[in-house]
Amino acid sequence: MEQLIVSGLAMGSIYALVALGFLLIANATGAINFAQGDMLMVAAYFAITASAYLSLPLALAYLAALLGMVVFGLVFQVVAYRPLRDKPVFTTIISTLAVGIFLRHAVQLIWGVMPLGLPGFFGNQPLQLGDAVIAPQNAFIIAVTLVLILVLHLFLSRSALGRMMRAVAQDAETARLMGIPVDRVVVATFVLSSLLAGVAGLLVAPLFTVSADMGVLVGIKAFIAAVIGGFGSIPGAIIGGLLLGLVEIFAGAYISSAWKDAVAFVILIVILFVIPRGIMGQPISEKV
Amino acid sequence: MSGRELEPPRGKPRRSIAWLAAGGGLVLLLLLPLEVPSRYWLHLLNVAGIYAIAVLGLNLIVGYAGQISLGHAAFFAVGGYTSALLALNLGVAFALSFPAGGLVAGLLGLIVGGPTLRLRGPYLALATIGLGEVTRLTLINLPGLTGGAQGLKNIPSPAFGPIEIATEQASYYFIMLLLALAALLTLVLERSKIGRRFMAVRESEVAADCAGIDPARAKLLAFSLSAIFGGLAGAVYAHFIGYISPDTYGTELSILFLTMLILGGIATVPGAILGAFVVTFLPEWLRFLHGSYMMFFAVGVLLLVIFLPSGVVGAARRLWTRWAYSGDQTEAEREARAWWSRLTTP
Amino acid sequence: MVEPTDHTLAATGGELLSIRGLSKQFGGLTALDGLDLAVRREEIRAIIGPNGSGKSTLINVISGVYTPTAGEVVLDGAPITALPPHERTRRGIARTFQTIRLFKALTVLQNVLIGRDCRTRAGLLRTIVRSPLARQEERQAREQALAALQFVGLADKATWEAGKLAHGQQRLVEIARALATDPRLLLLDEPAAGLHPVEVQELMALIRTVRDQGRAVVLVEHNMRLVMDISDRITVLDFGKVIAEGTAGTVRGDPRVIEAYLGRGAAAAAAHLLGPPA
Repeated sequence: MEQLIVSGLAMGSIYALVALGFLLIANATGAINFAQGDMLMVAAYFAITASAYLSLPLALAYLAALLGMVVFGLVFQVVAYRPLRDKPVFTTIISTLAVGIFLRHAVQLIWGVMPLGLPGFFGNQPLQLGDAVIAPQNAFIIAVTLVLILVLHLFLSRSALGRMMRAVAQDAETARLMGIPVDRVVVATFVLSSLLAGVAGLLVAPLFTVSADMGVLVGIKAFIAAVIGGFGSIPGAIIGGLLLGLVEIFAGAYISSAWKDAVAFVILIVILFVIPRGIMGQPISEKV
Repeated sequence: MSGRELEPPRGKPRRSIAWLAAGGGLVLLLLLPLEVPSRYWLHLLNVAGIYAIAVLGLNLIVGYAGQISLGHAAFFAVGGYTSALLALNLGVAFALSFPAGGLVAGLLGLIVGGPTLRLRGPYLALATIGLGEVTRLTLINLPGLTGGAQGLKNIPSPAFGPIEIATEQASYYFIMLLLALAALLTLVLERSKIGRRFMAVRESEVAADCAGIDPARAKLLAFSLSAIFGGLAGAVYAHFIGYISPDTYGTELSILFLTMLILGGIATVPGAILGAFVVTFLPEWLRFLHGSYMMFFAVGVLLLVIFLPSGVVGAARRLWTRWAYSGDQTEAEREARAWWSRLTTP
Repeated sequence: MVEPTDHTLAATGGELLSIRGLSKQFGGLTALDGLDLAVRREEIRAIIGPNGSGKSTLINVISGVYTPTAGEVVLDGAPITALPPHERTRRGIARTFQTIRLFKALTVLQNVLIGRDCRTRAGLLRTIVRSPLARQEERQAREQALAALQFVGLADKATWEAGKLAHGQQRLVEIARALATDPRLLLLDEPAAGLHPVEVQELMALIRTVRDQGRAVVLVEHNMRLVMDISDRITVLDFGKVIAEGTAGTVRGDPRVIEAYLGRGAAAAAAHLLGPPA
């Protein structure tokens, strides 16, 4: 039982991280980043390259991967968002979708089609916590996510850049009028998003294998988590992610593993029928 | 009263020439199956034609009504499975199962559309993705009904009584006929008050509301109609190919439909059709790139959406006005736009 | 000319629109505060007041875009407080917007046609198969839409893309679109904003003609010249309440009105309010 809860929270943490990255971009720019899940995958491949091909020690490989994600975020912003800033929102949907497709196939071209493995910091020895036996990686994921959320919260509420990000997320035009360099803040937002996806990728990779498609389903579910929590709300995204992770695991255990993937979508539909605003959010509406 | 009669801009062909060109095009289309290099190319043409019908449907909700729909494959799937299951399990004739597919898909659109279309922008995008994925997962997880992940095999070819449409050539004429009907229907809608209502909602929901249009009903209608088109196309697809399985109908297919629409020219009938054909044939033309052609496809789509957001047809129209009016741009543009918009303002 | 069709007139003392105790709050902000208002048929009623006094909010509540926090809106004896905008349009309320909300990618004619469409009866099926009824209604709608465009003087721009018109002309198309719905009550939200003096004159003539057609016009305006010249009655708002109401002459000299404006920029407001010497 405890094992299920921990697994659920771990997977939920991954969803929460990806949902957060996705949400930061959506709040700041109104754009939907459909490649958010694939960013997770890219980070894992960066780490594999650093560790297996460049023979860096694991910790350094992880660091290198995160640095790579910073650069990736910068490039991604220039390619998929900047040219479409003033165009209607569906164009960024297409552009990020295209980038996602590109990434998945580019990765296959470079690293081949066979799934690869990224080792974690812990072995396979389960931890003993009171009565419960849990996988150490899961505990690590939860711990790292908690710390990261705390850091993110402090960053957004205390730091200058964080406050500027929140201002831009609320009302970009007014922020611009107040002298905030909106374009640079947007770049920073993309980099931050990229990092969050990267951390998620590095955390989840040791649990499964690393392949080109690993980010797709996670990405979609993270989006659903964001909607469940009430699109636009950061705490909502976190709660949505954790909730989704838990419900998924329990559904998989008690109903059937075949339906595990469907759970996310079923929840989405239920929420849409019952609480279209999500648990904590507000629908975007046309201002009059 | 008919408003001001516009002088045809320089270079606009006379009515008679336009008819001649249309007639010639029709002859070409009819003779095409005999000229095509191989059965494979004819097969691709047929698939493209089916996709074009689906994309015409997508155009109703995305192009005219301005709502994001990333779950169109769900309707394509529901139409196909409904028709196939009716044919395989109950021996229903194609002439009945085919419209049934469209109707069931339309029903799905009607039921799901209500709550879904209350959402906007990102929420709507995700909800429609969710629709597509749930449909796919349902198809996988009900093996008793749908054959599960294996899908359905031996779906009979379309037939109307004794006439069976079993060859690629026969299918070609059948599909082109359906496509022509679908295009005609879309054009009628576009020029009618229904099309106007959709476009009003797209341009400004609030203004449409205050002008007497119920935005929710308009969006629901557009969505349901798009679902019917998708379902009918899906039914034809199932009987044409002969076997279907859930992974045909993932989010990738929905994205493909949307790409076809945007590439061809959003909110235009020729754009929807052109986009379907171009995107279906693209992998063939890019075959020389071997494994990396999807990458180039993705880059191509990206460049297209950045530089040609109104698609090929939109760009063609702009180029045309520039050629026809190498002099005075603004007045000319207005005239030309008005002349093009004759399509929507008879 | 789009003549008004015969609406049944309820015997409610000639009042077309009555508003009682209307309040609208946005979070902590009170935009309308227990407002009462009565508009007669065939009346030109101006709503004026300093910025933030609730004028646009009032229009939004009357047209149904906002739902009031309290109070009721009654049209011709029938309460419409809970009705959505498109229902109110069917009952005879039409409006224009402060920031022009035309269907920019559509032609001018299509914009006005859409206004006319709400008065047609043909449903989905008949429209798709182009039944005789549908075709006849389309023909008539087209004629009436063109007539509305003629009324505002833009019939020759019918095939133009609405977004390509000059600002003042777009305003007129909005008015034509509203008139095409054959309203009993026309709400104009700052129609004179951005118009040259000549265009303002034409607008004034237009509004008078609309009233003479048997419709009521409620207009929110900052252009005091226009307001004082054409209004039958003027209602002055401040902080979401009515602080004065009456004819132009009455309102002009009302000390409360002057104070409301003077409190926000003395000289400019006084000159603005009192207009040039007679």
